[in-house]
Amino acid sequence: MDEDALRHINSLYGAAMRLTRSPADAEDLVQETYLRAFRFADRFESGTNLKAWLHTILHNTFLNMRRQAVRSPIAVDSEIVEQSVGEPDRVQTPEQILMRETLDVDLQRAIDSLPDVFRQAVWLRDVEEFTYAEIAEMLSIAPGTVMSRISRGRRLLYQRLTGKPRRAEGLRIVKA
Amino acid sequence: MMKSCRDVDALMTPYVDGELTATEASTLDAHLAVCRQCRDRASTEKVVRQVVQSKAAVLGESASPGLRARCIAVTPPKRSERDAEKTGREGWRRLVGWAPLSMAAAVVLAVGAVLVLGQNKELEAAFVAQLAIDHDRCFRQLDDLVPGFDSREAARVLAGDHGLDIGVPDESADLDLLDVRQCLYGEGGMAHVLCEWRGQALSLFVVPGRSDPELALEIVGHEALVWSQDETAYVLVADQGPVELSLVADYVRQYTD
Repeated sequence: MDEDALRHINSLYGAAMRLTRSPADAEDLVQETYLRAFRFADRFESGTNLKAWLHTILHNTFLNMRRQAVRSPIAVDSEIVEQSVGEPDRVQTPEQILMRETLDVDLQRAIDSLPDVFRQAVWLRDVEEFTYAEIAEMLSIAPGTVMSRISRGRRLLYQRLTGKPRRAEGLRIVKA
Repeated sequence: MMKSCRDVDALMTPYVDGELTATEASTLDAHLAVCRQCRDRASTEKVVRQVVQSKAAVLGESASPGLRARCIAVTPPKRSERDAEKTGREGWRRLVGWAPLSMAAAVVLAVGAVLVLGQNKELEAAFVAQLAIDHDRCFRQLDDLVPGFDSREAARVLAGDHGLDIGVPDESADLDLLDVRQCLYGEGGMAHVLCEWRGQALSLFVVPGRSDPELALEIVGHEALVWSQDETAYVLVADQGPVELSLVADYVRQYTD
């Protein structure tokens, strides 16, 4: 399993960076993930998705590390956050704006600015292309919750990218 | 009956992702045809997915060589691999006779937490565990070495290149020097001497600071011995079992007193 597992290091590091937003913390998280993966290698069912299994460990390790960290946690009540981006905004032809010219750095920044639960859901789906079931398993949440987080995450990301305030009518173009 | 926005809500994400069955999709299509709000929502979500997907390669991160090394270090070596490594090294050594090995480039380690000796038992154990991991990693990287190394050369390199004034023990019937490196754990300024004691991999770390009293630890499959002289601490690390660390310590002390 060792070499196969190490093949996913970039994917894990990417996810770790999105979770911690700090290279040093992300590296510690990835190393700890591998440490646990190898220690519990016998629990991995061969034939199942190794990458998804490693991401599950990464997620749980992240939660543990954050729980242990004494620094004040960014208390995210996911239910409240999820409601706060509640109903869909009235928007028109988003394609033009986003497809036109989203700078990579802007996109990265916008993703990083999302609340944890949405950032993670969008990342695992749209960057890592995991299935809803795999993500549900990874995060220990229901598949329906996965989908609604992805949905809300995408809408929130859209708002961040376009700079459009919530509930505004139509679109405001920020960059000429 | 026409579905409400609430009814179709759960279908939205799989719709955007193209994962609905034809029947489900036509249900949602019928709703979208008459609901501007949901239509906009679907198109917003679709475009975000497309943008993120299309940028996935750019958004992805690359693990640094340092992180790769750290992760390889935690990989349990397969028995056969470990044996092969050993024979490989010995074979190579026979080839060059007992010509001394050379210096590898200093290994710079990125460590999140600053751990220093002399604080408390728990921190010291964590610090020594880190050294044990480093011991494993550095021995795995020994393949990169080029010939040309002995205790005088080691001391010269540590002093010249790294400003570390450290008495490196001479080679003896028991002790083979393999390499020295600078470690930047903690505050930096730490030397790592890689050697073999009667054929067994052994690391000597020379660390600024004191640790009292003398400390013997069994940690992450390794044994470690920590002692201090003046304002310098010495840490010996070896795989658990075959090496009598107190004997090695006695030998090393002749050169550091």
